[in-house]
Formats: sequence, C-alpha cells, structure tokens
Amino acid sequence: MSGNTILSTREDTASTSSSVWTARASSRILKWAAQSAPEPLRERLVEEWLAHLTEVHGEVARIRFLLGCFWAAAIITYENPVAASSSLTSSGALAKERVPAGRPRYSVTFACATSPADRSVMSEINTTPLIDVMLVLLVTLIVSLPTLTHAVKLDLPRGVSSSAVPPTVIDLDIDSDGSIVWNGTMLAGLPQLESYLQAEAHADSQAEIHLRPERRAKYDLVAKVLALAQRNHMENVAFVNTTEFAN
Amino acid sequence: MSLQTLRVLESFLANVSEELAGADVQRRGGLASGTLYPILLRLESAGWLISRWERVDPAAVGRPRRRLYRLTATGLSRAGEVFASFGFSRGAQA
Repeated sequence: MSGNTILSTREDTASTSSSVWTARASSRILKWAAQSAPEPLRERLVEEWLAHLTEVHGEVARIRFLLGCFWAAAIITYENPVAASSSLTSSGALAKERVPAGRPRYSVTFACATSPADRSVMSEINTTPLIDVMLVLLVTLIVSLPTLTHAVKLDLPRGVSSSAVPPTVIDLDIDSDGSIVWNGTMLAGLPQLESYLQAEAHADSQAEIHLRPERRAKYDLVAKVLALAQRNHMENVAFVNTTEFAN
Repeated sequence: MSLQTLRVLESFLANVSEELAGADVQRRGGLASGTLYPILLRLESAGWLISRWERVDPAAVGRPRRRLYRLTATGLSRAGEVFASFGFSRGAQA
C-alpha cells in the first residue's frame, strides 16, 4: 500500500467520522428544539426535520436550518390549539378541530396547573425569568442610548491670541497741583482732556489709558477724569503704579 | 394572510395533485425552516393541507421518512380565492 493510499484512507475515515458526529449532533439539536413543541408533535417534528436536514447542504445552511427549528418549535407552541392533545392522532397528524362557534380557534397556553393531574414536576428549564432579565437589559439599553449619543452643538467664540499687536498705551498723569499730563503733554484742563478722549474713542483700535494719579492728587479730579473716560466710551482704563499708595 | 403563507400555497398550487415535503416547499418558496413549519402546521390545522408519512423503509433508504403535504379540496378552493382576491390567476396544473 503506497503512502498516498494510506493518506487517502485516513482522510476518508476522518471525513466519515466527522459526518457521523455531525449527524448525531444535528439529531440531538433537533430533538432539543422539538422539546419546546407540544408533546404530541415532538416525534413527528424530529423525524420530519431530520428528513429535511438530509436535503440541506452546507454547514451554514445546516446551522440556519437548526436555528430555524428552534424558532419553529416556539411558534408552534405559541399557536398550539386548545385541544392540541386530543386533536392529534397517533401518527402525529392534526385532525380537524372541533371548536365551538364563537370561540377562538387558537389560544395561548399558560404554564399553570389547573388540576392535580397537571401538577407534575416540570423537567424543563423555566426560561421566563431569563427572558424577563433580557427584556430589562434591552429596555435599559434603549433608554440609555439616546442620552449617550445626545450632543448639543455650540458655536463657541474664538479667543484672540495673545500674540496680537499690543495696544497703544496712553499715560495719563494727574499731579497733586491739579495738572493733567497726556503722554507727557500738559493739558489745559478737563475740556481739552475730553477732546483728546473723543478723538481716541473714535480711533480704529482704542488705546489703553494708564491712569497714574499722584499720591497727593485730589480724589475729586481723579473721579472727574474717570467719569470723562467713561462718558467718551473709553473701554480700557487702568490704574497703574499703585504701589505708591500702599503706605 | 402573510406573504410567506402565500408563497407556501403557491408552491402547492403549481401542481395541486403533487405531494410536497417541507424541503420541497422550502426550495420553491425560499422560506426558512422557522417560518415554513409553523405555516405548514397552521394550514394543516385549518384543513387546507393534509399530510402523511412517506411510505419508505428508513433503513432501506438510509434516511428518516419525509412528511408529505398535499392540498385538500378546501385548501385548493380557498387558496384560489385568496390569490384571486389579489388579482393573480392560480396557474394550477391539475
């Protein structure tokens, strides 16, 4: 026997064992799925689905088929007629129902025991709490998602960078004798100061006024200067050299 | 009546005397198993379809028996009415 023949035989054996394993697993899964169907229909559904499965080709298609059987069993159980057990023949065929006129043909069955005979031990997993938890999680997710994704669009103003051209500075000194000095130029009085301030107020870029009252300057004069600046819409007025007022 | 149910009925109406297994209906109607089997049982329960086991020996054919469905006289009549209400001719080959 050549090496190729041995290899081929081993592959065939592996393939056969794999298909046997797959068939057994599929059979178990189908039986599992049919467990949720009404009892009289279980055997019929398992055999019918197994026969169907032999005609399904491809792993993905098989998996889809198996998952579909779970869904089918759930739907069949939901739509289980009131007299399902009595309307099913021994071969699993559905006999024509004899539902009185005026009564619904289908109804939902509830898992509550109504007679002592029904109070037998349930060997199936009760999935109701699991579904409840799942629904709670789903609702929580749905409620919280809009909050997480909510955003308010704001057009914020852009700040002026500090590297801009420094403003022009006007040094305004007020001496103790009542004289007012505008950038080193002695002014005649408050009317002249007002004319200067008006000219500055209408300039393209307003200058900063650095007010430097002398320590012994009268408060009244300083207040008037400030009032003039305000009246003429000077936006940047600042006291400088205030350290001399410390003591 | 859902579109899926109409597809199932259409599969049977193609040849009303033909017996179809679930796999045949799935091939013709393109329905998933989760949709197909509840519809088949629903139609059978309503008396539109009748089913029986395939008369084969599973050991001899190497597979489980197939469940074969066939349209009943009621089903044929009612399905024809349904398709007529949608403005489609039945196209049966009986």
